[in-house]
Amino acid sequence: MSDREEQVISTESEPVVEIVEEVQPDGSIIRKKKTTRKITKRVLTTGSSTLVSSSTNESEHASASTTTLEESKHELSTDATAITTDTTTTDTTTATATTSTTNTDNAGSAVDLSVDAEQPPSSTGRSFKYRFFGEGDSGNHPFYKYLAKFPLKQSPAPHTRSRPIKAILYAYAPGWHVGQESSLESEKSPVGSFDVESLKWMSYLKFNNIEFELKPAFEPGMSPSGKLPFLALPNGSFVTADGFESWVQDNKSQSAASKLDLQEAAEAVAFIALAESKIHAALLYTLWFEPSHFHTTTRQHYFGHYHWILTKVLSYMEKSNVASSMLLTRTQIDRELIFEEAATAIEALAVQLGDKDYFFGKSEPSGLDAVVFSYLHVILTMPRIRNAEDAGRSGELTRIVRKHENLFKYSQNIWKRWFAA
Amino acid sequence: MAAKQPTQEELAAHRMRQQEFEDAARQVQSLVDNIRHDPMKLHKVTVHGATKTRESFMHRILQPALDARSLHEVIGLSRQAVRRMERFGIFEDVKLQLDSTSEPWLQDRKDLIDLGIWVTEASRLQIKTGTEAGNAEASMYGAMTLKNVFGGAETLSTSMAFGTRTSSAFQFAFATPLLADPDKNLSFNLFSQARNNTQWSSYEEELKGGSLKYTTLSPLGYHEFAYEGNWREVCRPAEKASLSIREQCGHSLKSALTHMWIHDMRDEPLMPSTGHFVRVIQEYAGLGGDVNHLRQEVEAQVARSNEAGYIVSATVKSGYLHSLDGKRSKISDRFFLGGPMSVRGFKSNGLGPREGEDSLGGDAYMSAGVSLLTPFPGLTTRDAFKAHFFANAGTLVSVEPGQTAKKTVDDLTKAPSVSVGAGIVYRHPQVRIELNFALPLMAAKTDAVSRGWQLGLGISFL
Repeated sequence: MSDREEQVISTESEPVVEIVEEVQPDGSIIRKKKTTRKITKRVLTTGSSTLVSSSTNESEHASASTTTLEESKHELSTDATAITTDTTTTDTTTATATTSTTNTDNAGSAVDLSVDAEQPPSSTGRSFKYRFFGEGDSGNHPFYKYLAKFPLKQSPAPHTRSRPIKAILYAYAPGWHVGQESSLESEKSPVGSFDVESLKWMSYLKFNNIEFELKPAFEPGMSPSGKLPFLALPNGSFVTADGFESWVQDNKSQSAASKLDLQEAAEAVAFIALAESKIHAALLYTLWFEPSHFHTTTRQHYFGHYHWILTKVLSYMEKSNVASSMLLTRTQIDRELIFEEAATAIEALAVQLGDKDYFFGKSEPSGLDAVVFSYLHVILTMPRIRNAEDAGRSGELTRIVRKHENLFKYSQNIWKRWFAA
Repeated sequence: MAAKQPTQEELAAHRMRQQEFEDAARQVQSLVDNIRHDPMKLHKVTVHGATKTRESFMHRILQPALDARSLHEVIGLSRQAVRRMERFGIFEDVKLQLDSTSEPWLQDRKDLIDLGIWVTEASRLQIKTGTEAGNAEASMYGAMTLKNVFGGAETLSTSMAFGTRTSSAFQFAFATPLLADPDKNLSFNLFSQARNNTQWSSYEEELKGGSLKYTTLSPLGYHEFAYEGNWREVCRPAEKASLSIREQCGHSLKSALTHMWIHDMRDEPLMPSTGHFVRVIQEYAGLGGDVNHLRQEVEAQVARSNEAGYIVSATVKSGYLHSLDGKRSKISDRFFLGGPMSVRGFKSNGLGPREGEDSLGGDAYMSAGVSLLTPFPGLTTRDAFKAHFFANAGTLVSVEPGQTAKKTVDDLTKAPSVSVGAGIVYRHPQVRIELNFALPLMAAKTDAVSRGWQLGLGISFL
């Protein structure tokens, strides 16, 4: 159960109460009260890509013999049924249910569990719409049974899309393509990313041994959260930034990713915050506000797939978005200050890492490694701008990182072990 | 009451007046007839009351009348000019009067005549607001039109609308007749629109653009030539949107030349009882922009009826989108099919390639419908109500770039979706309303069928 996600959606419909009057041979009237309640339980399993929908129809019959006009009162209590549904990981689905129902003594309980069962409609529950307009509910009225036969002939679907086996990661990809390692990569299957957030997801998934299929995407609008990257799961649901961490924790295999103890975890949070505020600002500045880099590289990578007019318009719009997002936390965009802070942050990381393979001397990478590696890799592989106007300004962040040989080695090693292989 | 029940005397008086009038008319007619071929020239044309209209514009309209060589021609051509003036819609009322020349030294010239035109100009500013229902969409709109802006029947209009399918639309348009001819129109449009396609495809679309349009009449029918530049964005996929829809998200730039030809010989468009109709739309996209395709759409309709009020009409519609750059088409350019005004018995745009609950649209389609309209039992005297029996068929497929024509044709003919049904049609002056009980007979597995009652409200039906 550990390597797949399970979602249980349980829906309980309103109980339908029917009162049926039966005249007995001795003249008395028996009122039968029938309560029908439908409990539908859906188990969504990602690992096996099976979808089991089980529905329990629980009906209770309470009957009491009463004399003519006296109202019969029934105390009807239905305890919630506990259903445990287990699915095997093979394609054939088996569902077993154990149901415990406590009822009044004379009530017979019938539990029937079937895959994709339809609720047998009760005669009183038929709506106006159902009676007059055939759409919607399907029922046991002969006319609607007849109607349900249409269309008489079905042809195969003109468009089919097979369910993915692995989770699909929609992310900015591949990497810068110019720079130390990624230039050697084959063009066939995209690997890596020029976008820190995308690379972060990729490395975190890889560190936790979660298999995924990478699909290059450049359109944040396609994501349910409006931001790239995001994961599309085989069961049709999506994982966005909000649920990413918990989804990974639920789906990772036990052996992967080293566990940090409490103090290390607290330190890791601090370092992640450091990277995401200080290094991030310097990276954003380099990408969007160094004119040479913006014009020759950033724009092409984020918006290059559009028509050149749209590339220009949209990149300027994004640039102003970036500016306003940076100004949320600072009063002005001061290049010197930003790079000074970034240099301090990078130095702190270099000191913390030391000469170990991963942070805190672990044998396997952790979440902090995913974040730090993503920043270092993106910075180190940024294409070098060589022109007089730029005068090396775009390369400043890369030079700051290159000062720390251990960070360079660290980034290279992770790339070689997790991505290039 | 008196008007309803005229007395004998009144009737007699009326008949007498009519007689007198007819006599006078006959006299004038014979008088004119006698001299109709006598040489006659317009000496002077005076237009009274045209303060906002340019002189050069009026001159162009009246120019043909000045070429008249006989009284007959003078009358005919000046009438034509007046009719032309009325068609611009900038005058509320136009009266004309022919008179002998007023200049004293020309009194004896019997071959010269003066034309006097009295016009009342319509108000320049027009503001309209209202609600509209049609083509399965309800909307409210507001429009402001400035007529006759530069004195040449130019109109400047801005409008906005908010509706169920077009969530918002803003338009600014400038239109002017060319060469003072009401049939030749040049217009320039700027527009911004947001379309809500979430009902069938789980996405919204934003559209901004401009167009330059020239419309004209030829002996073959109505023509419209246009150049259109569009910036489109497929955005805001619904929560349940399928991956294929999500992958369509993004911006695109289209720059296209279109030509539309309409040949309409029907007696009326809503419920034609006789005549035929052809519409052809061609589009070439690829003058800049990132869309490069040819798009063709053809529609034809023929209707026949008999004296008993039985009408048979048949409609065929077809479209084809051909990619010129080897890329797959974008959802904004594709065709959609199905619904109460298209192939009945299916949900709106519910035919063709679909994924989950989303219609993806297709690159080629064919649809055909035969309708029999009969007098409605019990309402035989009311022409607006008719009983309706129909059979519809349609198919919508996607075309891979580079696919052979044979495969496309095979796909189109392989498995059409077919439905039959019956219902009632009501023809409101502005819109046709149908309530049908439809049964799909053949459908693809993924088609969104709608068995049972279906309400259609619109202008153009299959």
